[in-house]
Amino acid sequence: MVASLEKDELDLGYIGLPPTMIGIERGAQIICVAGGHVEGTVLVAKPHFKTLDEMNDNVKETLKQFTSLGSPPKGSIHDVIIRNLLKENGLEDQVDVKNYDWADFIPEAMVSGEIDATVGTPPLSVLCERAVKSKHMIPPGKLWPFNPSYGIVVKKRMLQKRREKVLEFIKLHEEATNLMRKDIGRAVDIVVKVMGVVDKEFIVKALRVSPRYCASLPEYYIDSTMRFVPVLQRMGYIKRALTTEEIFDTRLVEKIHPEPPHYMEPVK
Amino acid sequence: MARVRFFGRASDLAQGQKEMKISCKTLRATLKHLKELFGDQFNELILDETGNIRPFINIFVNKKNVNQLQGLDTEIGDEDEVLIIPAVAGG
Repeated sequence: MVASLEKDELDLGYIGLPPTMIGIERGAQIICVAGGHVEGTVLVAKPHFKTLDEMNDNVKETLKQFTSLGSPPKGSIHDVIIRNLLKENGLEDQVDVKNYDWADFIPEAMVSGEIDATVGTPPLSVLCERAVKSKHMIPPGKLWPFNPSYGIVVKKRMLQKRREKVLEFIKLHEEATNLMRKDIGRAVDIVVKVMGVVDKEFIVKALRVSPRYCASLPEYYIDSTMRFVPVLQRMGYIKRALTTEEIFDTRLVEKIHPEPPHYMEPVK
Repeated sequence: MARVRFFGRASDLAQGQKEMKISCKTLRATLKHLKELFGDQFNELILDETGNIRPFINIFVNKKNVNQLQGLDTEIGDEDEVLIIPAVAGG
């Protein structure tokens, strides 16, 4: 998506913050103007593995159960989070992370025994649950608190030339995030109709795994993002430290979202 | 014959099959053949009412998305691999 923004194939995208940061560091003229979702990386495994809770809250022991873990592509937020967690626990040489070009390949990899567990999105967790009766191993907030699953990223040129259009989009985006929290039934009906490839039960489950939607860019969203900077540097994805101003322009979203963030509000 | 692989809901609607061999010259002919085998429900998962590939369905021929090839007119050779993937998992 970052490449498509650079090639003018896209004006705007819903993109995970780590890939956005990698793009910015490599010279992409893009910037994050609104939030979207936090804590959208989940870790699921086949049912015979023990959860963090069952392992007395010991992350290292929980991760040590696995020999191989699946993940969406390198540089994705899921990939960065799990590789960092393995490194922090001294397990990077013991647990193999297999990256898949398409996360939709992962459930079959679990069925075939290629991997024991996987990180990925809430919808991926529902697919895995259907495929192998997988269960959640570590709550998203303990993998990386407030991890910025995605934000609204635009071309800087678009922001300069069509600022009102971007503002209009952020307003619609905020309305959509409110709908997902306040009227899950209607939101699900819309998603099912638009996608055409999933049923209602699937979407309800996926939304409930991590219903942390909002358009705002609160301090904890930005702080969580900035904690990726040294990690991305250590992993070799970026060479220099990025500043908050290079990644975020909060002016528009502050106009339309002066109230407190909604990320942690319960779904109705 | 080309190898056609089904993922997720596409596999469910292909009577649980994960893959099969098909000899058709284009993707359009391949999908028509699959409709004959698996019925309207399978077809409606893949194509919209105007006969175009649905936005949330990715079809790859030899790992290239057919949207970047010739779409439904993409030629399928005997050694080719066709992947039909409902894009659900994100990431």
